[in-house]
Amino acid sequence: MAFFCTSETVTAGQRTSGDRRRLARMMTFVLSAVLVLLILLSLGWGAASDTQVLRALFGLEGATLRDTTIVWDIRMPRVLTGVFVGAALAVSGAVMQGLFRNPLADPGLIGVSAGAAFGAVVAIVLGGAAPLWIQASLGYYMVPLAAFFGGWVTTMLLYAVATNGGRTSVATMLLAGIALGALTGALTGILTYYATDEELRDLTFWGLGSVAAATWSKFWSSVPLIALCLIVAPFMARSLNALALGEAAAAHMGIHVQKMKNIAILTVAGSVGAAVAVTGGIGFVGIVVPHLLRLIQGPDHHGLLVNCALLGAIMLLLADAVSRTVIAPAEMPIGIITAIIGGPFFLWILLRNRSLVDL
Amino acid sequence: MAVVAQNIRVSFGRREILHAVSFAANAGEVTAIVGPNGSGKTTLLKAITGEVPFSGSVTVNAQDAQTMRPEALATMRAVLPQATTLAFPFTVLEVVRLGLTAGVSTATPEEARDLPHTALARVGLAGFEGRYYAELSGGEKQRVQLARVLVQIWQPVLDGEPRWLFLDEPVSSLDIAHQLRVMGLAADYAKAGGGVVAVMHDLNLTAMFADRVTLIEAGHVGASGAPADVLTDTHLSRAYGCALSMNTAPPAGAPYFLPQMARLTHQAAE
Repeated sequence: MAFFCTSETVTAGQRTSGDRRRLARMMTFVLSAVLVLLILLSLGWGAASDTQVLRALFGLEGATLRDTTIVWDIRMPRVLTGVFVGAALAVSGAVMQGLFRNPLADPGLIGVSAGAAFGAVVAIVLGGAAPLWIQASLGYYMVPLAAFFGGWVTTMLLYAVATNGGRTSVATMLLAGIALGALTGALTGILTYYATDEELRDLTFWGLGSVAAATWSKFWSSVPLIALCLIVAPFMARSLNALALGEAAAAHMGIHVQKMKNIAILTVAGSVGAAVAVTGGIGFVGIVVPHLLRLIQGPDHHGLLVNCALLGAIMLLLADAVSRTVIAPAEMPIGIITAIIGGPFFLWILLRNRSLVDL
Repeated sequence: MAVVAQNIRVSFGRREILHAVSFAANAGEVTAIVGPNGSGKTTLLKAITGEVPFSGSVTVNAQDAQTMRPEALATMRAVLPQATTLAFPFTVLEVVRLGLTAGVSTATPEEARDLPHTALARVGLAGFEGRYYAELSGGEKQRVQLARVLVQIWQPVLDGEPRWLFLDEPVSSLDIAHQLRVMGLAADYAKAGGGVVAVMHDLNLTAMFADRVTLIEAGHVGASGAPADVLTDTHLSRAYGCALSMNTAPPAGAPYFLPQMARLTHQAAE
């Protein structure tokens, strides 16, 4: 006997061509990202014109060595760093929000970025005291690895404090994040006190965040950890959706909850650590982008995580464009731009969520 | 085919909540777990569904539930919790569709498209598809979740094996019409060959819909068997610590319970 007689209540109007719409939306983001990327390549010092940029970009006839150098060695690493860092921050934000079951969880807010920055500061100030073989073998990777480790330890601590009997308390998590953020901030402060002038210049940059110092070597040192997160995250979509119902319900739906949590924490800590290592702390991208997308396409993580990567990249490139033009020829640190946009947005989310989310 | 739990012991800290409880439910039947507040009925359900750590054994269709892969277990049984809060602004349809992603999917694309709508209609929420879950009443939320778990195990029998529906107080926040609708759905599921295990507070609904009843008293099994043998004045008055008497409703002869004290007060008032 059939318990469900399907098709008994379904009318044609309820069936949607959701797949086609999803694809169209994703393609829009891809095209916008490419467009913004091209605009960014033509911005900045050296004033190569649009056609010169295109010639240099594709190695066409008439491209001068100067233009090729400006486009490929100065602008390209900066733009691609923006793309990957923006994607990493937005995707990490979405994964953390899914993991903690809280739309306000953000690597910056709950202290993960602070932990990563502390790791990076330790590497900058104390890295010179490390045994030579460590310095030699890690090279450029020492700072991103230290940042990754700092972010990872902070996330694990946060999770351990906020989780009791298999349940993660959101309130405890946010409060513990504030405490851990303050602690790592203080430790960073102590190291700043002992830093040399040159190290201080490096350190100041962590506080505000900037893609201005991006080089190919820095870019390549951070890309593996970021790429890992971007590749792994979409595979967590089903688990994150189930987790929205709570850990017990997710387990009843066949999700390996603990395994999934471990993977999520490791990949997020890795990508945030790597992003912070190369650009310093850029706030609010991880909270603004996933939230905007949830407004546009709903909270289903399947389309959300991929589009987060795309929109995150677009947002960071746009913020970079603003930071370069608003007080040109000087540059405003990009972290200031994202905070100016992100702060009020965050307040708006708080007000809006009072009715739509019951936590 | 059955769900069998043997010698289940559950402790929270040093306090033992369940003391070597054994329980069985057969496919094709609605098995109710009843008992006073704090007696351990929900804890028993949580042990059987693997939500709390326990000692003892649980088998589902003769397979050890503790060693089964989560996907296989989720394909075989679904669990409706007492209440579910959602972290993000999901719509009703999105919540019900989550049931399709549980375990190993057995639905064709057409079925996957239609099932959530059908399930919502079965729980009396046709037309609620686009509403936000967080904006529903408690009873509506409970029925959305029921639709979700029904979609998870929509065929009561899969490859000759019964599937199982575990319900934790499924009617606690429902009005009387929806209580009957939901219990009727559970009974239909059992009639179609599936198994239903429900933690129940309402003794009258239990008497009306259950095929078997297990009465839990202070972490022990007080009585277990057919409703007529378990839902007696003696067992219930002892378990709940108040005088209860069974009567039969006039038209169909269905049993119902009335607390003696309420009756006496009523008579005194007259």
